[in-house]
Amino acid sequence: MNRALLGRVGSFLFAFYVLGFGVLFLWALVGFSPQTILPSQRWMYALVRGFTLFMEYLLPIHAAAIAVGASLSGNRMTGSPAEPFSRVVSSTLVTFLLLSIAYTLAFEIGYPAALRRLEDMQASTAMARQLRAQAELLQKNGDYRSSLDMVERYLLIDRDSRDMTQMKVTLESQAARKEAPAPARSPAGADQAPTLSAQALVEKAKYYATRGDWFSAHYYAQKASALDPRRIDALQLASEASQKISGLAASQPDAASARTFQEKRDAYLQLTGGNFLAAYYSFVRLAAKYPRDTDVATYLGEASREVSKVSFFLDEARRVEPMPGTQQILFFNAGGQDALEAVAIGRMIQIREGTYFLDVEAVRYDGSGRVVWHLTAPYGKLENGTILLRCIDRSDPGVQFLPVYLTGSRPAQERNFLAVQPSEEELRYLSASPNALADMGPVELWRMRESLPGMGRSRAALTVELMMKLVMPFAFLILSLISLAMGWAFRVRGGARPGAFGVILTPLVPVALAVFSLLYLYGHRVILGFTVLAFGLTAAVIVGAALELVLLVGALTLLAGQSSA
Amino acid sequence: MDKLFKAPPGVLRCGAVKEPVKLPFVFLFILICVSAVLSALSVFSLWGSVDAAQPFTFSYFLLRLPRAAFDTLVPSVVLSIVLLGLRMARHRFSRFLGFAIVLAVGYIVMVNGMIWLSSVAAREKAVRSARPQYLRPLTFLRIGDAEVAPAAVTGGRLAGVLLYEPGRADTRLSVFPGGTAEPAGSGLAVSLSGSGTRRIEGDPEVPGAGVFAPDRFTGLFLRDIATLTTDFERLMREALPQFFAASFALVFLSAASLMLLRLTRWPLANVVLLACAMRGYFSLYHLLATRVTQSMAAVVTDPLLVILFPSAAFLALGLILLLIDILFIPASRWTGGQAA
Repeated sequence: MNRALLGRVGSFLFAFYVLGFGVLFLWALVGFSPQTILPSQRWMYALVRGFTLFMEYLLPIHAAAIAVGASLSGNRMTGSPAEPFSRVVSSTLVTFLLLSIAYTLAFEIGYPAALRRLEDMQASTAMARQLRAQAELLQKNGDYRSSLDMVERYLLIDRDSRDMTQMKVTLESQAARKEAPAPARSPAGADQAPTLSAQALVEKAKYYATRGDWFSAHYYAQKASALDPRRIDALQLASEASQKISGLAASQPDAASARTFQEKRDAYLQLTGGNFLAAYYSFVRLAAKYPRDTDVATYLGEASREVSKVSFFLDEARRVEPMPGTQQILFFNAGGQDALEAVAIGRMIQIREGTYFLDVEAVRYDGSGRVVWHLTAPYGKLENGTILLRCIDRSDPGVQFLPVYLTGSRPAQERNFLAVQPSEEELRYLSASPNALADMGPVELWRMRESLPGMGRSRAALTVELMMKLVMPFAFLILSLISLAMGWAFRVRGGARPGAFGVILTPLVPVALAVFSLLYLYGHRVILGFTVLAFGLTAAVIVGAALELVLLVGALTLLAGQSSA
Repeated sequence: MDKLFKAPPGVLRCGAVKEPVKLPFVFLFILICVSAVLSALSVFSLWGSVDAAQPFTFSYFLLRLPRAAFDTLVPSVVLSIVLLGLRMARHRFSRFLGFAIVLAVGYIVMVNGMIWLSSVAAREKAVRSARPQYLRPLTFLRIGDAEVAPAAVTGGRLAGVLLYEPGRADTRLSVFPGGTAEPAGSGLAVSLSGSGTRRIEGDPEVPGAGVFAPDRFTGLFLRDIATLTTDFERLMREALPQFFAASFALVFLSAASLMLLRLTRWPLANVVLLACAMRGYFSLYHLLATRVTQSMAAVVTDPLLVILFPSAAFLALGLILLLIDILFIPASRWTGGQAA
């Protein structure tokens, strides 16, 4: 009998889960709207949406399976001896515990991930639609190259779009006479030198001086001198190298070589003079002209590394643009005394190469509402707790995106940066979207409870969400026990069979239990939400624990009251 | 000795007498428990979703309780009948006696309860909270599609207000030197002034209060209950005889529906069927009250008669169920099965 009950309940659970997911998957498929999700993502959407719906309605499905399974498992043949109910039910209870653990994992990990995936799909669809509209407008205006750029970005999101592929071909032919954009250079500055001491830099400068590489010798000597101004030897070496470089210019065999050398020297001086952006573009130009010149390659990397500290490249931002990310981030930044700073970010995309932002907007104002400055920037990149707002093209100095100050301004050295208070992890949870809290696990909610309220988010909302996340596994287990007791209490007896009418009624069981289980969960939410808002977290934990204990004892008592006779 | 304790012939056995006598008290006990739980949940939910800006006090609870009890009385009676039905199905005694007891007690309790609670709830003064209290310094509050965060709040006056509108094409953030917040209908209106003026109006999404928002199915259930209660309240105020008739119809249908517990040989299916039927009655009432009566109103001039139409339908449905019970369903289906 023991195995019979578990087997029956188990098989009904499996069948109801599969059927439930199948129905919800179909529901999501039927309800698919190409207005909100790209048609190419139809199946993925149905799968993810089906899963989220399945998680939302898992409790009634689960309860129905247990109740039906239990109600059909006690059909003992008349005359056979009755086994004690405690033995009948023991292994089923263990199974319920394991299922509760599985449910907790799915609810805390799988469900939030699926919700995020849905949001990402919607966001990428919105972006694709925007790109398409822009591409069509640009094509209409005869700007084929820009339109092609939009189409290519569109195709990064929706690769299988036939009409957009066709449009790309058309645009390519239309733009054939125009020069193709310069290919993106390989990421420069990858070979970042480790931080060296002044002594090590001087040694390096001396090494290059002995080899006759006066550019490198000058570069390292200057760095050593900047690091430790007391190093006379570094200064001397830099001066000597500078003279040698000047001498080299005069000793070039022909005018072309002298001009080339002069260009390299100018670029080099820009680099050492701190004008990294100009130096970067000069070296890019030189690298295009002299691809085999090792000096140019070396200093291009160096300039690129320096540039990446104050700006980032447009192709990086464009590459991440179609990627999924956190939407609508809004928070109060540390504004300092008598000043407030609010930041709004359209989207944050986290990839291995870094964290990028789209549509950054920030405003600084005082308590009386007087705006000190107000900026917007199309792109941003997080670098050591600061958002870099200067976005440059790798090869074209004429193309760069800088923050636009709508009101006021900031000192030149701060204009293109925005220091942010929240960490990268905290930024994820500062989203103003309704599902922001649903994405968080209990541990994250607990940690963020302290930090997020200081950035404009309500502690009460976090606490309520935390309590519900804590309670859900218990609610699942208790509902399992109640369903088992109910199914067993209302089981078919005396060798009778449910009959055809009973089979027809079976689909009604999840419906009826949906009403019951959703009301049960709603009651939980009301009690815990009320306790959190009225009395705080500690009281809510106590009340929640007491409530679950009472319900658990009640469910177990109900179960213990059953007999197998 | 045995003869001393043997019941004389012609007298009902002890168990048979006890159950009908106990039944009204059991019903009342269940009703009180159910009503207390639902009323408390209703008050908690009301406070959390509407009045959370003011502290929750015992006096607030007492003030709101009569109205909450009134609002939850109808579902409490129906639920109590269902729970009592589960008990009745397991005890062998006259089903007509059981039906009569449920009908009588349920009807008396519902009618008197609604009248009494209505008079008590009428004393409750409309305590509308100062909704501007939802606005806290440097905390975002969503109103409609926008989010508002003042730097300082003094009563309904705001200073240094940050407004975030994600849907705007140009700039999403705007700062206003000052503004005012005041209740507007069921929501909140924030008027902002500065270089320009703006008015944000809508239901504030109070942080944490989203937990009190019911899911889709529970929301529909609560809507149906509210429709029924509102109609009954209107009948009670405007025409007491019609109110008595409507209440009788509802209790009659609920009591007659207990026959569903003996419909098949599968008890779980019977219980499920009863639960679905009870849930369905509320939806049916809503449907009849909102759709069918509209077309009836064009024909029938008396508005009270129009309101009574759903109750008449309930009465007819109850009679059909009662006839099915009498003609087709063996009285001992469930208890007989148990005995077997």
